[in-house]
Amino acid sequence: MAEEPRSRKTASQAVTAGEEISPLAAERGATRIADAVVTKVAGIATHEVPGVYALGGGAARAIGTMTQAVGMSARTAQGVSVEVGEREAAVDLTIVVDYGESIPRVAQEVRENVIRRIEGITGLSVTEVNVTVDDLHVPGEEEEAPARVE
Amino acid sequence: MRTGGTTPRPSTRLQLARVALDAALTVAGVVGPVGALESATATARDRVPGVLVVALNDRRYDVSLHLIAAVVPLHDLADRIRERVVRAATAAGLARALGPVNVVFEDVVAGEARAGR
Repeated sequence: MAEEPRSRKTASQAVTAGEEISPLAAERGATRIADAVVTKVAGIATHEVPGVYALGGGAARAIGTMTQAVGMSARTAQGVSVEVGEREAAVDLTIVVDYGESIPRVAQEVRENVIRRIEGITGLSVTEVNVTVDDLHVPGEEEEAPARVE
Repeated sequence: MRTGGTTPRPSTRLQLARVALDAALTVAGVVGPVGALESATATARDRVPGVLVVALNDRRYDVSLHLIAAVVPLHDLADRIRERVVRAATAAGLARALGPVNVVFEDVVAGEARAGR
């Protein structure tokens, strides 16, 4: 039995309609990269910089800890907000820096690494990376609760 | 006496979906297909996740692969996937049915630079 052609929107149709995420047309089809990918790349790139203790503000980290515990989110997504256009992306980051590190140096390295990774991996041009330092991490300040089971 | 029925031949659409997904999964850097229902090619009997194949008005089919990838340069990866899909479709005798091959990276996974299968 012949199947009815379906009316669902394909990637190329979505690209033509200018919807969503960053389309890049190729000869034999389009490539699209979801916002979640750019978010994750930015998060990973931020974690790669020495002096970054964590991503996210206090509330985001608390919620993130709970959602990670039940496997609902990745630690790379919290504290990262991206705006993705057809060819460009802008990134807002909220981070916690280790006490003793130079905040301007860490922020600059984060900015450079995020730009390098996003541009290298996704081909998008990064127009801005805004870094908010939400807190300082002081060792011993938040002792990890001892494990209840071994 | 004949017993049982014959298994219907899979449609071109379903064949293309399987060939495209299998080919994509052999490319290093592809971690897997997304599992979302809306990104699958399905019939009453079969479901191929992560690939949406839709008929065009010229007897060809638009193939959209929805994938999870390793953290690698994604446009190069998309090109390699496209090449592999075209080659596999040609080998399967489906070259004339193959239209544009769209690659949608829905997510990336760090530290998963494994080759597909």
